[in-house]
Amino acid sequence: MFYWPNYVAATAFFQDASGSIGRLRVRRATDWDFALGGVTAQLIYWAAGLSDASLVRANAYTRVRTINPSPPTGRIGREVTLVFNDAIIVLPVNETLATLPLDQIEDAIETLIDLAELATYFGDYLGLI
Amino acid sequence: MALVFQNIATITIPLVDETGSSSQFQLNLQVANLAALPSIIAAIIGAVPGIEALSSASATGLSITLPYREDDVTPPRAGSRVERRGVWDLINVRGNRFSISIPSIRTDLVDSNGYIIRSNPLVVAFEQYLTASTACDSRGVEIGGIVDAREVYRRSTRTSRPPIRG
Repeated sequence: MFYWPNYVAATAFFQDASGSIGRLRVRRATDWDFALGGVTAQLIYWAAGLSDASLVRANAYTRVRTINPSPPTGRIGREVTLVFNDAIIVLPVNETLATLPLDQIEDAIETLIDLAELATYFGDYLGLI
Repeated sequence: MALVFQNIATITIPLVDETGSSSQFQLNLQVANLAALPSIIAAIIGAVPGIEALSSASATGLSITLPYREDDVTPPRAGSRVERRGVWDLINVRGNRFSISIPSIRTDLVDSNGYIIRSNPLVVAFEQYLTASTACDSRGVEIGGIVDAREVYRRSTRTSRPPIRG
């Protein structure tokens, strides 16, 4: 079961005259709202006004915790990467799957690939690496 | 001058196996607009039991990272250094201390003792916005007040240094 987040963190990246990057981290109390909203962006711009360096980019970050996670049943064997037109998925697989050649791993996770292709936001499946 | 969403979302699910080893399921996804994101997250949460079954590990959470880029970058002032930080020591409404720090604090905002000049109108405006906003600490507890503000030097890390060009 996943907890709703209680804050969204924003990391703003500032670049100085030497090219070094420094970070400003602010957090905004919120419910299920992912975007770097107006309030946080405004706070970053207020901070940028107090800095000699340039604001170049920012990330919005939300973390949701699980409560009572189900106990693990085995070991992670390796990570495989599924490449789609509009997405990349890194998937850890168990020890049994990890010993198989890639085409057999592909067969084992076919259902997951089919589900991902059905969702419009992944695009066509291109391959497994 | 605006932070523009780059239409990419990185969704990460940390997984822990029975030996305590950790790995993560990670998905980099093009997102046409943020309105689509809640339904995507719901679909991914729905897929978590399947991911757990494939990896024999347990999901411990889920994180979403959205990158933004400033569309009108002003050049940094000559002599600016990100190691020279303005640090605001804050107290949350439960009485715990935490801080927020601004890289390369303007030198005209720091007095000869190294304290931020909190009577400066720019600083006053920033602090008013900070305390009136919903800014909070890492536990999601809102700001109760400002304790102190001063200049602090922090050394560069390898990742924060500029590349050496030959």
